[in-house]
Amino acid sequence: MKRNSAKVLFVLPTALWILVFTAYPLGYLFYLSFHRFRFGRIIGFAGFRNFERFFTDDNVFNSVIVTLIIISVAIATEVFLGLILAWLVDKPLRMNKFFRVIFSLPLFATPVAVAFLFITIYYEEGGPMNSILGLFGIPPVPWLSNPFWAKMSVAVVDIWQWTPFCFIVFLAGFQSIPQELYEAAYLDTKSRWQILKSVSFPLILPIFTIVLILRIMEAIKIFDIPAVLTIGGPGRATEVYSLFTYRTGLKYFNLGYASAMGVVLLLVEIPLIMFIVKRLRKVIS
Amino acid sequence: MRLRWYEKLIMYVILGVFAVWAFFPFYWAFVNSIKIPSQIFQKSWIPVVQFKPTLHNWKVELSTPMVLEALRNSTIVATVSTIIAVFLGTLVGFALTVFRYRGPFKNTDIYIFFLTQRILPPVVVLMPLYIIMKNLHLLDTVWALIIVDSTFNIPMAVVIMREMFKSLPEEIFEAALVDGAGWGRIFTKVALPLSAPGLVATSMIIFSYVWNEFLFAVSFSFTKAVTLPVIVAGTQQNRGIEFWYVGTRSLLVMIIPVIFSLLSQRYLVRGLTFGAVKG
Repeated sequence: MKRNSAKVLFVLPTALWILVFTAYPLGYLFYLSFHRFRFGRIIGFAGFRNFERFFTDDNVFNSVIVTLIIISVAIATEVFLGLILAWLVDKPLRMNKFFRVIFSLPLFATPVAVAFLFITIYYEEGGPMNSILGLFGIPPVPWLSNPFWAKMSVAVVDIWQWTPFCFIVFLAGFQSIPQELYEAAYLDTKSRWQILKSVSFPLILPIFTIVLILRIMEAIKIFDIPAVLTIGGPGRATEVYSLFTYRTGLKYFNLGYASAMGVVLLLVEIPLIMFIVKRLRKVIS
Repeated sequence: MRLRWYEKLIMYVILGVFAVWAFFPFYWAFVNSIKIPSQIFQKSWIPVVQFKPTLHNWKVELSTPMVLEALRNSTIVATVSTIIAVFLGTLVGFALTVFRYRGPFKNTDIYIFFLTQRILPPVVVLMPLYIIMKNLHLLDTVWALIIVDSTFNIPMAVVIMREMFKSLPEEIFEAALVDGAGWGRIFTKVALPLSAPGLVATSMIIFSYVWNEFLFAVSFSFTKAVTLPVIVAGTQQNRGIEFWYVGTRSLLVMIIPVIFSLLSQRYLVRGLTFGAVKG
């Protein structure tokens, strides 16, 4: 194969695949969002009606707020815990390999199965969560039946699942700091706080940004955990954006309206995508 | 830097607490899966000593036709999607490493084009894909899921395989070129064998992602093409919360991806951070 034809042939199949199965559906999304549906079929042009409805729908507003509350609680905790744990495991402890393995177990645990398990863990009477809290004299928490606690429950499961991601990325970051740097710093100053402040912290900062962006990117997609753990409830207390869109489109077959929701999410994501792309350009060699 | 004994103690306590937290749900699932219903609320934690373990739940679970069928569907969907995604992603990863693209689309642009796929929230394309699959009569077949799952996992393969090929010495490709090998041969006979570990790890990561996928699975399959996560999610509505089945069923689903994530850890960090952080 000649170089020039190889250049094209190696990229073409994948590019076509993405064009057919992502670019085309994205275009189609816009088309759908301007149409009215009945029983899953287009019955007419809707103009901007789906979008007008979007901006006046209390349930849309609710799902946006719910999503923001859940993911901000979750992300803040995950990044913080992940950083602390990685910092501790990076120390010369005998068992750090063991901790590394244990901490990464939740990473790929099927989210649906995890949410399902947590229904029993959160069980209000005699479930392990409330039993353990009971040991400290804390009265039973209505984990899944109270609108506020239901949001926290979803966030806690997300924290369980995603702290490992922050942990392994931060750990990789800490381990990429050359040991000599610490030794040199140690000769300079005996103060650990100084070393932490002027060696570890500045070197971990770029990774901190990456972890944060990636977590935001991923957390916006949240669907599995609330869909199974609380089924969006009680009421609509944990009906996150993806779940609301899914229900509108595929439970109530309001496909035009659900497409409009997709369009808005896409438009909202564009700045985020641009930001990620800008950061990526810097780190891709 | 030496740690003082009390510093070590504090660290072990903190790490220990989190180790219990991370491991607890797995243990909880396991313990419940080997209990009979009447033992569930007895707060007993150690099998054999505190209660008599039973394999009954597992036997029932593994002879339920619905579960077996879902297990089969999940295996088919995950295997075929993995093959497609790894194949398509590896081609691009290779091209981006050995060729220099000029003109409007340079290497970085092509790379980023493929990466944006992973940033895109799946729910955005859910409606159009649903209608497309419906028109193609692919709803409730494994093909709908295979197509969508391979599409969303191509970026992972591009990222990891590009990193993998970049770690190979350039001279190898040049030597093969001088020997008169075409690019097709260099790819299959030189690049692929040398990056076998990366290929295996990428496959395991993508397999796990597809295996765990829920949104498209619950949207595009109803009876015939149902995968394991859909079965798990449906259990609650069908039979209420029966702790022992929660145990067997969630373990059954989780076991493969959890093992795969441990085996592919070195590559996972790169894949998850788009190659921005080296594992």
